[in-house]
Amino acid sequence: MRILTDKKGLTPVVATIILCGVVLILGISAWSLTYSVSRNLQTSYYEGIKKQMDTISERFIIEHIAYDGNNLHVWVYNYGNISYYGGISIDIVSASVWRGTEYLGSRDFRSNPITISSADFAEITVTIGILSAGNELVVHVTSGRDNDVYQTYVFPG
Amino acid sequence: MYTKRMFSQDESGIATILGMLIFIGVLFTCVIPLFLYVNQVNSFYDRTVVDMRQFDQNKERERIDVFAYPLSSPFDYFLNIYIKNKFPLLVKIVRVWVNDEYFEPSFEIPAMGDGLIEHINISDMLPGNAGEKKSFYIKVTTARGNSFSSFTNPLCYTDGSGWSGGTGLTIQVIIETSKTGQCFFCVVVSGPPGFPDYFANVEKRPHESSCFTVVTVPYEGAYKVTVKWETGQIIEQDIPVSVDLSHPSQWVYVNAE
Repeated sequence: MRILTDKKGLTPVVATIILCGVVLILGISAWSLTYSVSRNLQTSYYEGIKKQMDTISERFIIEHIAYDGNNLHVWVYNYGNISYYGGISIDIVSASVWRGTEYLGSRDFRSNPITISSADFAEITVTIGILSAGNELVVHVTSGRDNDVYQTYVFPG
Repeated sequence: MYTKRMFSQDESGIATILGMLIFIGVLFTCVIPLFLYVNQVNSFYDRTVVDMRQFDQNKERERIDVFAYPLSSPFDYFLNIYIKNKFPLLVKIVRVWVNDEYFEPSFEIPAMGDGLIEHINISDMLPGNAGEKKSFYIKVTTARGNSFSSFTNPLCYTDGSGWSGGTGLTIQVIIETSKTGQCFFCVVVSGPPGFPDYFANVEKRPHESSCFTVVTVPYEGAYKVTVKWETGQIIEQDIPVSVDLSHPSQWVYVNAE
């Protein structure tokens, strides 16, 4: 009966509960925000590094070049393949052909890249017109990760 | 009065402890895992860099000798490619190019070993008109992204007279047999004065039907080729071969039965 009428002791208890509740709510909110931010940081950091790893792991060569009287046929081989990392596909976005400083022709595949799987190869055809025997060409192929390969070709006639 | 102050101190104490616990929770569940994760990803990146460096070094060090040779008539539309691996790792051949056509044999050569890619059919590439001549350039591509041309390039085929060609003064000896299992042969090449007799031991592997050796000779002149079994039993003796600048590379076919 005395407990019910003695209200002096109740206020500090209620205040303590409220204070603890506020601290808990603020703390959980802060923890939740930090957790979410750190997860996003992890994901974006991994994606950035993975992109760099793909770029430095990409390996391709111009394996063979042939000329048919009007077109240059270029075979590109994706040989980038290490066991634990697995092979990565490459997207060929452009191929251009030069004779010295003279531009002969190019193909741009940026809107529809040629995808070459690991350990696979693909043929690209570039229209360049008529060549003379002994003409020395430079073929330049670019991937979607901005890696380049160059190859020279001497038309035997 | 004393009771009230004590309650006040307890309130701030409990809140401080809760705040500290939450701070430690954040530290252990968010910050430290993030730190460890970043380190792990960095290690993965470093490992990729090292592996790709190793990959590139292996590509640079890869060395094979390639010798392409045609079979004798009537199977002269087949090419065999003998490959000697000079690299201390396995080499995988992914493609063989004959001029602008490719073949995909998927062939592996053990470290420091050799192997033979057999029966590459080029019948559709041979010239069909009498007297017509065509040159063939053969190269192979490895899985590491290297291309190696045949030492016997170019091989020339003339309709009616068959194969010729190769650069330098060489005698190519091809031993064909239908025997299964491993066989060993000894090839002896003797020649003009000043040319010491050349001996070569040649192995035919169990799954192959021919084997091959190349003898580079220093002078033009008349040479003789003798092919024996490993036991010394002669298969063919003193096959005459004339090497000169108009016919710098001669092919000798021996049938060992």
